[in-house]
Amino acid sequence: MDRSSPVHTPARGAAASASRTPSHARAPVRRVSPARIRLLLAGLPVALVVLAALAGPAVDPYDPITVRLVDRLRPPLGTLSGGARAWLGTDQVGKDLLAQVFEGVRISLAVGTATVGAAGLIGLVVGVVSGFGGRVVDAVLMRLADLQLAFPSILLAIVIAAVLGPSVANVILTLSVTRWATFARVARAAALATKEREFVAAAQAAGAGWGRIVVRHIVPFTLPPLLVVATVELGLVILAEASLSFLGLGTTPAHPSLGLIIANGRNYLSTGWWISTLPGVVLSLIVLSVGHLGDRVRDYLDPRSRGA
Amino acid sequence: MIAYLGRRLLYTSFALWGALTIIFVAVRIVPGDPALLMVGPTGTQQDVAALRHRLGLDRPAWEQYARYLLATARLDFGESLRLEEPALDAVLQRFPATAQLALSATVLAVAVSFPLGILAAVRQRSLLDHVVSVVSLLGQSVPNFWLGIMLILVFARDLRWFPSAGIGGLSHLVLPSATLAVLLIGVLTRLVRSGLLDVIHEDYIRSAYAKGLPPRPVLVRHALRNALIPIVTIVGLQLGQLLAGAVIVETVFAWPGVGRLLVDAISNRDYPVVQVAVLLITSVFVLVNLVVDLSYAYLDPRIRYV
Repeated sequence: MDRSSPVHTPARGAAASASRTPSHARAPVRRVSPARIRLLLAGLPVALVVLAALAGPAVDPYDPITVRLVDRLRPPLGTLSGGARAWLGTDQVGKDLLAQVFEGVRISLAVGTATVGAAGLIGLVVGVVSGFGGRVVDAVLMRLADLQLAFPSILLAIVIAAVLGPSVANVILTLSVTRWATFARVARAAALATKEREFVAAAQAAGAGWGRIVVRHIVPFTLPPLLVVATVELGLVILAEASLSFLGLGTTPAHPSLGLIIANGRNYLSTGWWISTLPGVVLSLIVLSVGHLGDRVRDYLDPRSRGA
Repeated sequence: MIAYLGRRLLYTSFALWGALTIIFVAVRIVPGDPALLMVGPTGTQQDVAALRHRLGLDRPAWEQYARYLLATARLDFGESLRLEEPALDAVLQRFPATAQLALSATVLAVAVSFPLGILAAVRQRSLLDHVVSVVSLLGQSVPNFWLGIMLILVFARDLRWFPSAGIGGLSHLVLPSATLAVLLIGVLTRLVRSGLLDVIHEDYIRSAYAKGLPPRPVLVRHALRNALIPIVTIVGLQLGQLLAGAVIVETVFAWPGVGRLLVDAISNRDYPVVQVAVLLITSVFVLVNLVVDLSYAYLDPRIRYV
């Protein structure tokens, strides 16, 4: 982020100098700001989740979709027929739950980031066009965003997903169609604020065309606020994907996301409580740590909202 | 006031029109022929043609759209394809159950989150404050369908305190409304706390203490009332989440409301019912937000609508 936006936003620049001045006066050693430390600490659990998603298959040797009926409904820490240990148990057809959870985390994270990326891109384009397109374009696009926000987004997602049918690509499409509006609002606000700055007039005076001005001077300024929205939205999108999958409108059994594993365990509550329980704990922890990181990113990039 | 109300009503109808259009487009971009899907694999060529004609699918798109809007204006949504009754009746019949669930969840959420939020604000940075903030963050992070399953597992299967499914007396209401309330509790507690913290250091609070009022009336009548506007706004906005959450909670607890009907109708491709259910949920959401906006003048007499 630091590299892609070389010029700081006013809020952030002010905060940086405010926190730096006293330490300069006292000692020449440059201290790391507490906000940055909190940001890094909040990033740690999320990094662990990503690591688990990537390294999972190496730790757990089982394939998440291999059926072994002899070993079905083994409880967590139970021993399999081969003598190996099933750390999180097995499901009703003997599929290893830990391997499924690793796979589920991978799918939930992939769907979440892809959706936030797509929704963010739509929002960026709509927001910048809205900020530069003149009053009519602006009014039309922003009323459209209002309309989108007036509609409970998970409801819209349910309807669209039902029409499109369950698949990983459709979930990403559905959720980005229902999530772009917040990004568009934020990108528009940032674009409008930047449009009036002197360096835009300077670039114009130097003969730069609008395309160049937008790409080189406006877009970099919309990225920090969009990043804040993106981290906050990531948790919500992961939850929305899980809900869709739970209803059978999300990913398919070939791509068992956490929501789908939980839905499967519902039918075995009396014989295999762990099938629904444990993936849900993992899902909650992921959403919790991503949400926490979102708060910290916001504090870091927009110090005025700190503590709110 | 009148002009404001007029503008808001205009916006409300715009939102509903948008919802109608989204449903119209969504149902018609289905890959393949909806009539074919509705008739199913057992239908004959004639059945499909008859259904296409009955649904008006053999007409140009703009004409279908115009007919659709006119029929909606007459509240004519057609017959449910499966339940053999008008789609509107089917949905309205289920509405009281959903309203009951949403209302009891809201009451429960307010009853829990206001005391928690007030305590956290009064004892800012205490251990209690930290515990409350972790709890409210958890409330927003736990997926409600999973929470519902966990409550069934513990309170219905193991302890046998409450039934796990269906509608009936008060005992049937406990688990579903608790599940639905948790998200709202997370959001509200945070909001009550930060809202109170914003006003608690104002001069008039100090004056109220200075003239000898005990803490409770100061907090409730002076501080909380002024913190209420953002809270009421969010409660209104959260109602949309609550209604959408009801779709999932009703599925988990086999609660016979609009949400479960919607999920059933979706899996049966009963489009008239899908359409009415979505329209009803959206209407309630939009109307509640209108009421919320109008309630500001009561909560803060300084606000005038122009």
